[in-house]
Amino acid sequence: MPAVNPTRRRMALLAVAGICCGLAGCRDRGVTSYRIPKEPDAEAATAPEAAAAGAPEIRWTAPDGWQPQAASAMRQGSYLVPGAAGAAADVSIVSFPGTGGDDLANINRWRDQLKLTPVTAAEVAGQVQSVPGAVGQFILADLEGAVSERGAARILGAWLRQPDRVWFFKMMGPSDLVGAQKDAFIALLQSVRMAEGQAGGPPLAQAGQPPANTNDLPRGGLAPRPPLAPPAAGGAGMNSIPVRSEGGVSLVWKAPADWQTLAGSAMRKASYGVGGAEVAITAFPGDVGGVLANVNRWRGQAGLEPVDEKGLGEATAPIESNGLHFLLVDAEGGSAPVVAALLPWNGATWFFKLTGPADAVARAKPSFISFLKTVRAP
Amino acid sequence: MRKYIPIGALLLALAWVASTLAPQRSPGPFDLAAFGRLPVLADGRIKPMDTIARTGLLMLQGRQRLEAAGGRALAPEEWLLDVFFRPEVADAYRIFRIDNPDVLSLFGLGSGDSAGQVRFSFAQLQAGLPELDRQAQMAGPVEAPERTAFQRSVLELREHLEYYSRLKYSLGTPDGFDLSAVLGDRRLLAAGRPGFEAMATYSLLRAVPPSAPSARPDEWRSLGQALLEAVSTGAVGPQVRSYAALGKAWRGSQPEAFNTALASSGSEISSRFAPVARRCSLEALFNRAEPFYTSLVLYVAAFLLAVVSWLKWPAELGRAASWLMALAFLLATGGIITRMWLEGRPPVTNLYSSALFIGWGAVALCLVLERINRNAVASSAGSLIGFGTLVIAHNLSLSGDTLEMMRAVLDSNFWLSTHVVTVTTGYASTFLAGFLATIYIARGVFTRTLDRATADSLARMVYGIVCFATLFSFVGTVLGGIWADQSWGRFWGWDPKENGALVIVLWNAVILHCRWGGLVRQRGLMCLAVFGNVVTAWSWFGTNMLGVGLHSYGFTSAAFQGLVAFVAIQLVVIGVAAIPVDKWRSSAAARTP
Amino acid sequence: MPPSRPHPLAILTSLRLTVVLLVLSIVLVFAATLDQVHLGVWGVQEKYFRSFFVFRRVPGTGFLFPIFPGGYLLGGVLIVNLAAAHLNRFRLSWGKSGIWLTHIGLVLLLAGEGLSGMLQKDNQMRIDVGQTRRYSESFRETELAVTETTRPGYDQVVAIPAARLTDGATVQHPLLPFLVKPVSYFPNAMLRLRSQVADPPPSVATAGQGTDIVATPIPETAKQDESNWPAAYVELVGPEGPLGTFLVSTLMEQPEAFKYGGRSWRIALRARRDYLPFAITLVKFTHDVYPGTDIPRDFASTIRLRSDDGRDNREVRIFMNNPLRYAGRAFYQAGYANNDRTTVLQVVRNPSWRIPYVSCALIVLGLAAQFAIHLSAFFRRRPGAPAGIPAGAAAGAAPRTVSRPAP
Repeated sequence: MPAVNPTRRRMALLAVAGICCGLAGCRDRGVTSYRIPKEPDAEAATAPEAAAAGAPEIRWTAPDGWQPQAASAMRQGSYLVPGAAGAAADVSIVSFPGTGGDDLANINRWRDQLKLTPVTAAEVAGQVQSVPGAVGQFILADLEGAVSERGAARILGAWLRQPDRVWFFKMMGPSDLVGAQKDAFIALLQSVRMAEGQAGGPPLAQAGQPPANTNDLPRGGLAPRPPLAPPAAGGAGMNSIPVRSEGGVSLVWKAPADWQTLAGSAMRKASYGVGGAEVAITAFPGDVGGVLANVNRWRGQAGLEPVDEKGLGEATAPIESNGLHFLLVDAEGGSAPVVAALLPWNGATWFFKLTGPADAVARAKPSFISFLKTVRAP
Repeated sequence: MRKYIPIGALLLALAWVASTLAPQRSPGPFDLAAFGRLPVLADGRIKPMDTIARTGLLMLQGRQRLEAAGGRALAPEEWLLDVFFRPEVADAYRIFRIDNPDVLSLFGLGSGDSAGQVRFSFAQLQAGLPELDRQAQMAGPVEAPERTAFQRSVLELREHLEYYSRLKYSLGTPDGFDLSAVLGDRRLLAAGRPGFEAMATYSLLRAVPPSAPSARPDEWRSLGQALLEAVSTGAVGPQVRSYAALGKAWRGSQPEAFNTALASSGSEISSRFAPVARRCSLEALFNRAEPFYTSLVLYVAAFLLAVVSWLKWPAELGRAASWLMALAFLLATGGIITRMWLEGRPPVTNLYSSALFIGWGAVALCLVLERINRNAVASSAGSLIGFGTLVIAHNLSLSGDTLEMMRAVLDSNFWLSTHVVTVTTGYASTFLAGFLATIYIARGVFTRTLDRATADSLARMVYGIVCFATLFSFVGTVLGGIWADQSWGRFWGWDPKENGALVIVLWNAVILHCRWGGLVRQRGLMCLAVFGNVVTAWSWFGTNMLGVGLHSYGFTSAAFQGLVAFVAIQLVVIGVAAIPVDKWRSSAAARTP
Repeated sequence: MPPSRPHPLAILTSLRLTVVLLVLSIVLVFAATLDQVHLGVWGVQEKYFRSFFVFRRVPGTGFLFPIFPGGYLLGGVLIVNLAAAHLNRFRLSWGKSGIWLTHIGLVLLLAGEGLSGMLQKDNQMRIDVGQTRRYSESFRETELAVTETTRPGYDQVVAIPAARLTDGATVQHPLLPFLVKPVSYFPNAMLRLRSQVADPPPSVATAGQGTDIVATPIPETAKQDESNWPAAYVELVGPEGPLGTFLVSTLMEQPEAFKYGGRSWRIALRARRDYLPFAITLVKFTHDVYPGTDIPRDFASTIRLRSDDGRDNREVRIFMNNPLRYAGRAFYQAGYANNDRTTVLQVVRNPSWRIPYVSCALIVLGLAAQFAIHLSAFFRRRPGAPAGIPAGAAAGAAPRTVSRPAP
């Protein structure tokens, strides 16, 4: 027979203990009161008669092509600026109460994001420029550096100080895209207006995302996504450094019948042999250092003295054809003559270069110039 | 004659194992082995190019073998070199595995010329890429557990294509331009800036080591970043030149130039980063040796020998089976220890290594059991579990590098080596009890070999293993609770994985209590132990598929189907055991158990 | 043993009951795990584990029907069964000391978990870099805080738990010169400016910012990456009549301020706060990742801890797997936000946190003792042990004596 009584007694005790624990678990629904020291950062919305509460609103006009993104608890405005081949730049507009750090701190924060070394206070002035806008003076910095974790290599940042807060406008992305959008960015700054006198209403927090958990891997989307297929290069089967042209189009031309097509190389769009001379066609994005630099480069290759801005007009000759504006550089007379044309087109610079022994170049030159006139945009 | 069978089998196996471990000579004039040993930083870890090549191929096409047009087998390094430096050639290799018919129809593939193909080349997919992109953008925002098979396939294919693209940007650009041509001229270098920026942004690898020898892994830079620095400073580092020379030599099919560039690069790295170079050499050797594949084959052989030994020549074949199993065990041990050394971590860090360890633990227990019982039962169970877990591990390795970095919350070698190892041992022993029980049922119902002695020995083994499993599962679960208390502030949070471990402990306790109370006898014990397989499979994999909780790894339909199939098989085994005992074929040979 | 009806209380000591309870527990845990996909971890804890029964709503009515025993019931009966069976069957002896220790440890573990379920309080602290906080906030509970700000040295807060707002009963408190009358309470609501809503309904609020806002109740969410934003309309009524109906919501950044009776007041709906006898300032937050990936290597918050009585003023680094234990609470690095500018610390107060450690130590001791006892008996009994007894058999607890034959 199992011993009943000791068990029963203990059972009862345990049951009573269980009930007590259960009751203790009931939620406490009492009202509590306590005293706390004054909290400096809690600002109340005053009664409607008083001044408008909360952050002043600003309004701006976003340039065409900028895709608005959802504002978050941090950002008043957010845009994605698409470029070709999947590149994108990110634009953010945020504001902080107070002074938001001095100019040096801001510059160095952005320099740090681009993996650039910080500058000293004395160097700050050289890094920034002043942009006047309707609401005040913007301080603008254009920083170009190494590629950061998020794939950006250039930051265009501007800030506007107001008595009680600072506004930051920042564009971050690949160098050329940001460079191409610089004017649009400045136009944005100049379009900023304060929304005063309008009852913006009480500030409502954005029901944004809750904070990230340290146990989880971050949600995807931080790494920049590569373009799956490289942009179609111009010319059939020729390799080139990717030239960003809209929709992958390229210039087309018609080479004279007596020009031999030479084997392409990784750098060239096309190569032709003309008697003993050679014609090479290449293209690079951007302005490749500018007209003067390229002219002097060719002059240097040809063994001629470099020219300055004033001498540029004499060293070059413009050629207009099919709506394209070539700049012809005739660097003959040196040890290795170069006759070349420079053509800025569609965000890139095209180079057409004729080189070779002096007599071959001289013989091929008229053919070269008439060849240039066959070049046209598709 | 018969008595030479065990030693003969062992020698044969040893010879084969030795052949897999011998360093291979590179086929052809290019020193691919040296290229495979080059260290690069990827996924937060410094690893050899060989790992990049093999895991890349595994991820994209589910296997490492690759054939060029014409049937020639390509070494993984050859494929990788083509991706880096001859992308137009690499685009023709059929490496993207696509099974989903709807995805195939996106590209216009899967019927006509390409009917029956499962692997496709980048060139074949190129036309359909914009449409894939569109579909991926629509599928992306859908929550992971709610995606359809099509959406999952689309996103997976896009991920693979992005991986492939990023490989192309690692040491060059996808249009394959010749880096060595621009290195000499500073202006040309400057003109290449957008290409270098693209390389720096999208590169998968960081191939350029830092200039100071004792720097941290953070200081490794991608080739694009190094080139951007060269643009601004004008100085081109030696590693950059080496890679440029390597590329030029590969493109131009110049073995001597290739080998020279490799030799100079390799000697520079081994002089400045000797420990890194050693580790990468070992890892490259480890990849090539594929010890787990060798073990897998040995386990199959051991299993067959063990099963045959129940019918004929029990002593000799049984010994051969246990020796082969022991050899496979040694090999797996070596593999696990190598992984531990490479990673600097305890043996179990992710799902892949848990599969390896479960196999290892079960086989270890079986070696002990076989020593005690010597009836080839433990050998068969151990080799079967070893084989099964290695197959599971292989399937888990298809998603990327298995030597991955531990996220911050798991970054505690103490808890990884105590809690995780103990719990995994608990899983292994519960599976072992289940498999031993399956052998009992199979032999009892279908053969005459379950005599009294075997039945009793099996029952003792199962009981003993269940005790062992209870202890380890319980201790492991408790250690997990303590870790959770140290990390997240609460001992027990009813997380799905925690619940799974708890259910294993509870089920093992049920088995023991039923046994102690006489509520079940041998057959009942076996059925309960087989159900333990279901419980453990749920805890190991099922909890990961829910997509919630702290251990969620996401839902893969292939794994889910595998789990359902496994559970169904166990239930069938239990059903078979429910056949009345007098109908068992062994009931004549034994008294009713 | 003559067949007779076992004494009803003897059932409590039976092994069969143990097996039944264990199986029921397995079913409960499995069902709860599956349901977690829908309910989230908190919902599942409330429904399955911190309850005596699992209820199901009878369709069409509001009646809740118990369909399965819940965690407290199963755990409680398990403890009773374990204690009863143990006391019934095992004499206190050295030979059984291992089993005693093990079972005491087990009972302690279960009881400790039950206690934790009732006593543990989890809060969080969200601190921006440079900010100082002296309170922690509840994850899910909200309160209506009526604060008097007239005095220069301190503020007097009266905190009314949101649970009191749901039943509509008026709240009267000696420190408040007016009654707080809840008009309506929404567990989750969407707020929009009146000017941005087409055809807005007439405003329920008669004073404060609420007059410009339209509050629309929306269904509560249990997803982990979404939060609920409760809102309520409360009417303040003084002796001479109502002061006005205010809209309060956790989405409103600033409290409503008003004056009454010569004193200044603020009213707000906010997460329930527990004020601490110390202040925490976030000095720095670091988020290290492995190079080239976004896999986190470590999260660390460097904070300055200043107690009100001046005794403690030091910097502490809280990082993953390394909490700060101070003042009966543990502070864990739980989350981060705002582009690594805000840290989220989890604050856990659990007076019974040591119980699992004690009970585990007891169980391990007990199992080891039992194993040692068996091993020594094994070696003493027979020098050449019969083949076939696996080492593992001795590792577990001793088999219990069977009180009746198994059918």
